[in-house]
Amino acid sequence: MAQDTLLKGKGKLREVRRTKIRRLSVVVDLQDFLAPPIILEDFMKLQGSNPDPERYRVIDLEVLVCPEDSNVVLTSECAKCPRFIRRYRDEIHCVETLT
Amino acid sequence: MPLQGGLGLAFEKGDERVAVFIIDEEAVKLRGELIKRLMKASRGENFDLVYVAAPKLIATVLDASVFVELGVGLLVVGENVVEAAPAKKRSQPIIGEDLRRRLMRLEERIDALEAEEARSEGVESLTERITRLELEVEALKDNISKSLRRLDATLSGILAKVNALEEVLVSLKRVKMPAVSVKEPGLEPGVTVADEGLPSFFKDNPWLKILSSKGRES
Repeated sequence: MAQDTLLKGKGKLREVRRTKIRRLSVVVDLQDFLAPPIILEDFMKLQGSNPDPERYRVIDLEVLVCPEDSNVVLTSECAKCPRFIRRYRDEIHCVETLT
Repeated sequence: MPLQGGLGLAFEKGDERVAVFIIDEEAVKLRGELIKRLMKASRGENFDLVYVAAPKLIATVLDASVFVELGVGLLVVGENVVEAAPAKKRSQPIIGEDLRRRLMRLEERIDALEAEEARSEGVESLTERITRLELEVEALKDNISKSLRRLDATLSGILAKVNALEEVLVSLKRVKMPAVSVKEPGLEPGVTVADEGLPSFFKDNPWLKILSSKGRES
């Protein structure tokens, strides 16, 4: 996670935290709900072929580690955060909490 | 300012015209609409500053770097509105060489038309003057013909009088009378009136003798 400074209102300087986004292509088995979702690359290694569309679904996920609480979150969850500024290339920019 | 499709807000700030295109959930559902709005925003015709406003959820999907590259501003709308990417001021469109040439040709044509109009105005004024002169000539002709008629009548009258006088003269000349010697009361005998420088018809006129005798008789 990188940090920048951002000039905010009323002369207060706040750090801008740049958090890397990770893209995951997850394969979900529609017939066996107990089978754990696995990464597409791993599936290809295990099965040796692309997932059959009739049985499997490939879901693309964008996740990041929230710098606030270190939880893994979806990028769309950042919309709920008041510190969110923007998405810039493969990063999420947000401001740190003032203490 | 009238709003086009996808244009949510347009206003003027000083000399700058600012447009805000809104990317809402509706636009995201209709992918074509989303692309159309983004394309319109990237063109941003007739505006100095162009922004795209998007709710936070959509902003997590929109890459702000693309907006920065295009010079389009990004406003993230949540509890507050955050300017995630500033808009770059757009320069006025540069007129291409072809357009410049066409413009010059149009200017030349306008100049030629203006010159022609000025010439036609000159011709019009000349025509007006000629018409006025024609009217004046007509009036003069009328006056002259009237005067000529009057003169003619006068001359005819004079000629008639002259003719009458000539006739009288001729008739008088035809009557040839002998010269009459008039003896005036105070005159010496033998002295005639013709000798006194009287008109010729008095000379040897017998009537004079008669008339003079009548006077004496009375």
